[in-house]
Amino acid sequence: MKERLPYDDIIRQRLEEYESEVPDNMFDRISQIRGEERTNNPDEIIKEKLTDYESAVPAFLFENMMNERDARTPSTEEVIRRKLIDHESIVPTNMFDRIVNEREGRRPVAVAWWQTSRLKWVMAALLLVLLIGGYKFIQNDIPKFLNTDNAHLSKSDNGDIPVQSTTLNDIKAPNTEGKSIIQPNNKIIEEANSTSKNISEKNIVEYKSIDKIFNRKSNVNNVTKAVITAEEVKKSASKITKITSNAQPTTFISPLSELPQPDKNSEHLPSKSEITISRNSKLFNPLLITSAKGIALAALSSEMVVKALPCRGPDYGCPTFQKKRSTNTTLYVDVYGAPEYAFRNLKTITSEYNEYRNARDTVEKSQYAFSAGAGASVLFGKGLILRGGIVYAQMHEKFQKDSLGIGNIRYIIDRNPNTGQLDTVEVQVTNGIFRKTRYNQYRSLDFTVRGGYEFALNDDLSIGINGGVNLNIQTGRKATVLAQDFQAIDVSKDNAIYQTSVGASIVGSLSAYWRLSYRWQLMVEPQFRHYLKPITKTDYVLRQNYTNAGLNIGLRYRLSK
Amino acid sequence: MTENEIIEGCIKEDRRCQREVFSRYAGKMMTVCLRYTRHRMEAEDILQDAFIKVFDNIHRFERKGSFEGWIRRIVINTALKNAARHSFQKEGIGMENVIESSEDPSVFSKMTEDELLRLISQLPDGYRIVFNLYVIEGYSHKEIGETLGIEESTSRSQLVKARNMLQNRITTAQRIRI
Repeated sequence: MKERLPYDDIIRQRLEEYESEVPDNMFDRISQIRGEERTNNPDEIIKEKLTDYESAVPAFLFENMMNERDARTPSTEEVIRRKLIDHESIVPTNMFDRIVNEREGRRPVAVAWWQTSRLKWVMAALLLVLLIGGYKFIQNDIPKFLNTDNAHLSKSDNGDIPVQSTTLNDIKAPNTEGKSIIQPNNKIIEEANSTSKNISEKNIVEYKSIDKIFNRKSNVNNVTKAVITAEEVKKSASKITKITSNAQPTTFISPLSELPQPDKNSEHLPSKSEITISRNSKLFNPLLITSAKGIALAALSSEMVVKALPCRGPDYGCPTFQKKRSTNTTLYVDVYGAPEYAFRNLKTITSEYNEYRNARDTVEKSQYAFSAGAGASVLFGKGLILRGGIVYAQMHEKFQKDSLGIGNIRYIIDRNPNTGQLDTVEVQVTNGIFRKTRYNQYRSLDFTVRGGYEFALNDDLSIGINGGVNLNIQTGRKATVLAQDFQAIDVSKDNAIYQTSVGASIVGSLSAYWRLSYRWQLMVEPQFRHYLKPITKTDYVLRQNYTNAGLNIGLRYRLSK
Repeated sequence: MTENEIIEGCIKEDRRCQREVFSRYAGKMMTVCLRYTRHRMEAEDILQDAFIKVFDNIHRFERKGSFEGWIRRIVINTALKNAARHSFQKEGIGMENVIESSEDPSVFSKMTEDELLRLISQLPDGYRIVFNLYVIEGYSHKEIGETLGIEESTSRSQLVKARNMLQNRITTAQRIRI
């Protein structure tokens, strides 16, 4: 008997890959059987069955429930709580202002003012000017002592102007024969004499040492005369102060009313008006001479010469005797122009407009600015200066915005095959980027008021510091800007964005004046100007502020003689 | 402006943001003040002092909880400090003669908020404060005792007396109306 029949392989092959039909619920039955095997805990089964089981809910149960809840009377306290927890009572209208005032009142006045005031930087600048002015004023008012270190010590004068060596008693009035033009006040002289004993020895020692320092070749004992110039007094002011701080008390004799008077206008001394005061004179030690810049004390040389100098005007330290500087005022007019740069600051009132602000900043760029002005100024004797005038300012910006549009339209004309006539058979439209460029101008006309301090550095140069306000008279513009819908709009005329007036701006400057002639001076003045209020209207979503920096260059003309 | 922006503005002493905070919460806080005081003028003073503290200390707000809750807490503390000046704790109030009475709550429902405030303001200081802290602010007697420096039992008795007094006043008011 054969072990394998011939059909075995065939059957095997046929059945090996055959798939019989399986009942549909077989998998669920298997799963159920396996679950029953997994747990026989009735609690688990109940939990599993009921956890997510949803029973039927009677209709209108919700309405019934809510009605019943509404009908239920809440507790008294719940009623009160519900009524009052979010109730808003009326608050006095001025309550916020009272709070603000109360808070500010608790702070030191200066701190509160500094934190809230928009004018704080103006006031700070003015305060600085006043402090400098006050300091210089005090400096000028302190008597300056002059001794050998700031006088030319020479046996014979080698200056350009011959010195008339005469003693005090030799000076005669030109029209009063035989009578000294100096009639010393007896009381003052007595005071001078009473103190001179205490002064002389001590001071001589001091002066000798000073002389060694500053003029080693000179021998103070051999000095016959000292020529004092106001310029030297001024230059050596600090040295003089140091020297005299160790000196004995000194009596001043002032004024020497009988000395030759300078010309009232030019403050020039008459020619050959040098005065030599002998050491033997009772007035010699000490002796006070009022000069244009202060007070000089006579030196200890055997005789002192007060010498007329070539004078360029009262601003540059020309000697004057009786006429106090404090009474002098000098009137100037000036005209100037300034290249400037305008720093624009665009702020949003809330962050939701940041995108709009950024878009405006992107399409509008500051270019340049300029201003021109004319005015008048009064320089007071102590160096304080008051300036006023009119300033025209113009700021330039470039508006440039790209937008997509129809760039080119091409009409193709050909013979129409139907009619045989020439006709437009095709229109080709191509898009392009269009660039809109406008050059914006923002103009303003201001009235300027400034105060400051001015002082001479030398004969030809004086410098000053100024601060003040520009009051806006008129504002205009020729401009295209981006509106809130990101479209370009012309705001040259009345519009919803810009104000017609911006109020005021603060200005500060450092000025330098070079003397070109007796009356003309070249003015160079770096300055800044900050607009206190935005040029935009208050209900506009952005605040557009400007701060300008520039360099005034102009001429100043002296009106006073 | 969002609340965070307003708070940031207040920290920078921005007057606009301070005004916004005041506008948003002053009405509610005025109600709080009126609940803790007898007179409107006194309430205004407390509100003013409280908002000064809010603006002075806004940088200390940690933004973990509700800004309104923080302000409310300052207002309540200010009101309590003000009340402490009157030393209400020394009022001799005990559990004796306390009779629980129950007024129909619907009476309170029909009253306006201002009438309720007026009613509460007529309570003695001690009653009024405990009533406010317990009923409206939701403090426990233990918390009230710790806050005011009084015994828990005192807080309870004051609350009971406050309730009785309120209901008596309501009854009196109804009789007068009749």
